[in-house]
Amino acid sequence: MFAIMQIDNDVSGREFRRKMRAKCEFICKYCQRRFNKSYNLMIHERTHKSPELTFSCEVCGKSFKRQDNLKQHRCSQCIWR
Amino acid sequence: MVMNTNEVDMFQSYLIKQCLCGISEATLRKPFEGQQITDCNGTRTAMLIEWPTTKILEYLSKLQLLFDVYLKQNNKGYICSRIVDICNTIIRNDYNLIEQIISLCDTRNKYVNYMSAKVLSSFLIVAKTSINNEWLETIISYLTTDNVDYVKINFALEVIKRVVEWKDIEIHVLEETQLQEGASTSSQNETCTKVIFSDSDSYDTSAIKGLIIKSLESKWPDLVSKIQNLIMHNDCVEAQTCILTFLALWESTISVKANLSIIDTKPFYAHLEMFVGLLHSNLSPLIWKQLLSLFNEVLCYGSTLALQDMLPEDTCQLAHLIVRYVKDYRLLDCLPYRRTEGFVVNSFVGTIQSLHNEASTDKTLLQKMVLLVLKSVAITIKETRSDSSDSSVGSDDYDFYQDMQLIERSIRDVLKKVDVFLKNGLDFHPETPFPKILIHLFSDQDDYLIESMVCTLDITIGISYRNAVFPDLINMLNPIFSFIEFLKIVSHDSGVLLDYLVSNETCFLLYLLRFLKYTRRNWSKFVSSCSECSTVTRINEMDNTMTVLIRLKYQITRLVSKDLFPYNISPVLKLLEVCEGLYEGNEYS
Repeated sequence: MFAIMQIDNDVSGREFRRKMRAKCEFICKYCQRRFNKSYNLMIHERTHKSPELTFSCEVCGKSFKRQDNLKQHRCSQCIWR
Repeated sequence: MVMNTNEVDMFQSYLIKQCLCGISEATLRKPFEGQQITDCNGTRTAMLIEWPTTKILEYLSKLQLLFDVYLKQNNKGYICSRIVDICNTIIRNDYNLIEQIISLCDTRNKYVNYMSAKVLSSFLIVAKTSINNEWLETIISYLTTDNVDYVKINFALEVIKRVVEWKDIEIHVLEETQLQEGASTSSQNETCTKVIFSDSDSYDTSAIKGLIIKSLESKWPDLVSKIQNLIMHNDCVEAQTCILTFLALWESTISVKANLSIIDTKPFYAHLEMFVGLLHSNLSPLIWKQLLSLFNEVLCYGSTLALQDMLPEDTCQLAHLIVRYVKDYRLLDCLPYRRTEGFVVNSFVGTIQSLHNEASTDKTLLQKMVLLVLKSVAITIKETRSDSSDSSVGSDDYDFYQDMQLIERSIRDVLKKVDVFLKNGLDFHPETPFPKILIHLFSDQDDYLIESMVCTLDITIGISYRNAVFPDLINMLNPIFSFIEFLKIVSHDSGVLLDYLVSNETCFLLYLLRFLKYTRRNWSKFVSSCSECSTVTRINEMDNTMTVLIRLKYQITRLVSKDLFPYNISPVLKLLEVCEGLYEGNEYS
């Protein structure tokens, strides 16, 4: 036996999909605000976090939050970089 | 009075080395056992409040250092066992220290008050929920005493504000170097017995923040009306200090960065509208600034509201009110942004006269005001868009279109007012394009600059989406002009754009994502706008702009290939590739 889900005829397929999508919610783990798209939640959650160290010196491995900090960086090991 | 200065100094010198293992138990306890005094009742332990002011300040500074060391070591995952011991003794209140610090308010000394508020807030962060509720109750009760006591109100506000604002991981830029360089030279602490404190509960402050916010909630309505009254009727320095601290606390409480639950902070959105009505030309510029900061924080557009489908009702109401006040009540004209010669900068800090060569306009006030208006307009447009996507509203509904026309007309009025206001305030030529003025206004404040660009972009998209009744508005806001002007500010350096993307100090990720989507959908407009700008500047703006974007794409790809990009950037990367394809004349797939 199959259970067939009836879709009301006056609701078009597109609208139906939109309504189903709208129910899907992504909740911020810091403030519990709700978002409909996971990427939007990710953008929002970055606001709550401390910046990460992304730019690393290839010589000594020291990491920086900003690229210009890396450019300014000179230590005894890296002086001839 | 007998002061065991040697032991206290030794305690401090070990604390500076971040380890208390090397000192004896007696020296460790001595600073907390109190000082002996002899008076008419004989020899007894003196209460803190009975100490000379300098000694109180020295003592509070040492306590502060103890808590600072504890919290920093907690962040690293281990704490010196003796530091843990002594902090636990204070938390257990073996020396009745906390009540004594709270009662220091009665010294009426502003330095003592400042330090004791700082120490108490650090103590609450260290102790977290292991605190005696009576301490919190006493602090909170200072806010609503029958007779207004400015010193006590300010003290309590400061303690609460510092707890709410506390950042779990906060390393100063200058400390990063010391941390890394110090890692190899920390041999001095080899003998330290450390206790591991790496579980999230040991440094998670959300519970104590939640607790203090919950305690504040019951007093909030009373406090709000008290402060409202002070704003309207009292301009003495003490009152203004309280008002400013109160507004700063309010802003921190609702700030997204406080990491507080929206459910816990809901009650703090209730009284905002009353404060919009307080913005008039006689209000001190400092309070104007603080109020505008508060409203800007409530309308957290770039970080939150622009990303949500359904906006909170109270936030929308604030945005509507701002739009209405600009449109109907000449809010912009009330802004006290002009500093005339000899003008007292503000009554709060005393009588500082403006210098002859000082700028005659307070740019920060202008920036805060304009950003607030742009956010309010963007929210109003976004809200109507959310409503229009509701299937219960038919797209051919006559009333709906009438409403939309009305809203669009209001928004056009408001933006034209902002345009005229800025041209007058910043002495721009009347023909200067609006995007150029905005970029110039925000050029020294990148977070405002980028949030304002998100707003104008979203307003344009929101209006275009409904076949705008006023096409001149779309031309006025042209987001492509904004981007071209913005690239000039960052000297066409794709490295700066990359820094913006990696850091979370601005909402550039959201901006770039939406701007690239807009460009992809409106490629012919992008081409024509670039060529329009080129005729003015005689530089090929299209090539200039695309060169920056292609370089940015290359830099992002390099970081992604090394697995160094801190989050998923692929949507932006894909859009950059599509736009590059369009530029090179490839068919968009």
